[in-house]
Amino acid sequence: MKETATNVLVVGVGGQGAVMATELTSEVALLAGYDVKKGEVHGMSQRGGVIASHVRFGKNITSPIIEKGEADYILAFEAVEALRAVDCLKPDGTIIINDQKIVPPIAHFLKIDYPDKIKEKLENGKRKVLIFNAFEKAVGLGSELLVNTLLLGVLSKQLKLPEKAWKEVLTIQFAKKMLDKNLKTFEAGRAMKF
Amino acid sequence: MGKAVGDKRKRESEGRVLLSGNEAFARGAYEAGVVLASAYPGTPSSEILLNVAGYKEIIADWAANEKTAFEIGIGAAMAGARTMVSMKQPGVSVALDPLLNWSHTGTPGGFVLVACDDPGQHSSQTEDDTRTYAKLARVPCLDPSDSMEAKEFVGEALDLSEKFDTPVIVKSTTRVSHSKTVVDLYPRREYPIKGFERNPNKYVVVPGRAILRETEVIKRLATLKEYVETSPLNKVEWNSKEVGIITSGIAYYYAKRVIPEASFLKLGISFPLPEKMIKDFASKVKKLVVIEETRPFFEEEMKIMGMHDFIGMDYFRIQGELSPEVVREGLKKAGIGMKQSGPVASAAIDAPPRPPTMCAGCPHRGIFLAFKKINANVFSDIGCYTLAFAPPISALHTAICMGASIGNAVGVAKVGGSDKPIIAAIGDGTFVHSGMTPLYDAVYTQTNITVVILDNRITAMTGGQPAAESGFRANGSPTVTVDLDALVRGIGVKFVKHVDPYDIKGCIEGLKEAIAFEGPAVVLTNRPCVLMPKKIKGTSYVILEDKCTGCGICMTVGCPAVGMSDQAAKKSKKGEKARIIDTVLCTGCSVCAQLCPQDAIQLMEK
Repeated sequence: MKETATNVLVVGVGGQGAVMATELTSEVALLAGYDVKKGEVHGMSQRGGVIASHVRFGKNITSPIIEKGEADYILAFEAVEALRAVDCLKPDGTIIINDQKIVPPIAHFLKIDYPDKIKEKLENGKRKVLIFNAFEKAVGLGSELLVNTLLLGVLSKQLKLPEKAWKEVLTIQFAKKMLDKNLKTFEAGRAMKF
Repeated sequence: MGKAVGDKRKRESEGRVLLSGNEAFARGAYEAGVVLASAYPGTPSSEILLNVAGYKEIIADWAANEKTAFEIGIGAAMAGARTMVSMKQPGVSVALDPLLNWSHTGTPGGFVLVACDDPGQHSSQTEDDTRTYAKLARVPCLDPSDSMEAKEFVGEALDLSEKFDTPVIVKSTTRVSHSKTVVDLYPRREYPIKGFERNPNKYVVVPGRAILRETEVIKRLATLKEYVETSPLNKVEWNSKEVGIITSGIAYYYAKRVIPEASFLKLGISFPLPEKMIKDFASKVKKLVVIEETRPFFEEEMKIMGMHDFIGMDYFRIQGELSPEVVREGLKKAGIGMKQSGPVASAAIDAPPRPPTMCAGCPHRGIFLAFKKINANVFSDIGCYTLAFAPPISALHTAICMGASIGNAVGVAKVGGSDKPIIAAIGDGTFVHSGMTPLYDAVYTQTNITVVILDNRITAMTGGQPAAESGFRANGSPTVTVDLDALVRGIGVKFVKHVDPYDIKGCIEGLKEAIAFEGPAVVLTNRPCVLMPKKIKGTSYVILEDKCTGCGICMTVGCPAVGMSDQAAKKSKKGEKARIIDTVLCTGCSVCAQLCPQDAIQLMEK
């Protein structure tokens, strides 16, 4: 009954859709026949606070939360949140970052500058750091609402889950008139080169 | 994106799906033939009733508070209907009176209370443990570890309830309630409603009768203690006998993660405890470890049983949530070897903090800025508006428990203890929950306070549950709207004023009038929540760059739509002093524009 797990941590700012991303990832893993657990804390985080949502899939999954140093993949919807979460990443893990800056309102009062050189800060020689502005690219693909699907496309290329299962889940998720656009965006995410 | 995938799957009659613990409690109610569900929202429990309301077979409503939720549940069970009541653990304190008495009388219909603890206080004022209430009430407490158990334990609890003539508690924690795990769905079982049968000797708790019931409760507890020794919900898993772990709830999985080679006694029933089973397990292992969340409850019970030779909570933690990491460190401290070493954390990188804030356009912002302008002592309450305690708004000074604001203000005023105006600020939901009775106290004693009811017409903090002021029920069907103006006048308040919380000057004038009034005065705000039940989005404001001096006053409203921006800084001569309004987030409430001394914040031209 030994546990073998792939650990995916999705982080972002309340309202960005991080929870939905883990929701879909965990449905795909279930469809692919894995044991799955997904964990997070709700509460006040929806009021513009920090969101961290965990998916663990594999065999005989025990804990629903990813420990520090245990994440195989981190998907960060916002650049500062990538920094905040990085202690959870395995030394040779992969981190995908939407290089979109959401300055916390409190930064003004604490006189803290929004950090720069995010990529340089995260690189350590072993990690894979995939960073791009998903917001701008999504707008280019037709709508800022496509950020989530675009990032999932990038993530899906890294995870060893069947493409067919992803498409099946997306087909259940999206209303008919939105589906085509989302499938195309998903493909665009998968096709991205870093 | 909506919630379509999960929603579609969990409506199926059979199959394998991913459900959160709270969705699973709801599904459990459906499968176990529950007829009525009643609840008061509170994180981490709120999604239970939200999901129950999706099953048309169950009558599901939000109640005014946890006590009325419980009492409505009692009524349904008195009629012989299977009933589920749900709330967060601090809510059980509110419902404690009916819980203790319902334990005494026993229940003709199956009655389960699902109570959700919040170890780590992610969203709670206190870090307490529902098991202590179960012991106080002398009712069984079931303790699921994942969503499958969450679902099944609702049915088990109802069976136990009917078998032993007792309400039964199912205890959850944030991790069990909010984690999704794999669940097998089964069809619904129907139980006919027996109908109310008169039995005043059992159900009228006057002293002469109640004392007889006390005897029955003592007998029942003895019977339950026998039952738990053989219940299939308490399970032993034999592995290596070097280490034996007694655990329950999510702690079971943390321990399985860290030391799968140990033997386990997993307690599905955390009160009463199976003494013989525990002692037998203890006698067969070399080292005994108790891993539990939140209070050292098993530990204390075992000490009462005369057991002292085990590793307990001191090794793990005295505050906060357990985690695999905490369990691993505790076992190390206790000198227990583990086959697997844990992961090693990567180096942390500093990131600016991101505390939660009031939403852009939140109707609470303007009124709290008005409180600040008149320098009132603000006794407040539990809701989204409690965020006004934090910088930059920093305009409320107490928040003790649900409904406390008005009583607290009355007490301060009675002893003449405030040299500043006294304001009690309470949301509409919290006012209905437990603010009406202290307002009666204020009227009765003619105490000179100003009560501000922040009427946003929804229970926003917990995710937008409807209340009596919302005009619709849990399943979305329309209903009457309670008139708060008529209500407070009915209690006897002679000064009632309505203000627009987006109009800071108007708020200040209204508050000054109310403060000047001799006796209790009520001010009602009249703007709905901008997020729920529907998103409100007006024309955005923008900052005119040539007028803006970069003084930063607009930042003192603490609005996530008003900020500094890299892009603005790059384009502007003012550099880092440049301010910008996020036109996607801005709802057009105008509060920042009212404060701008340069008139630099103007409505965006269409």
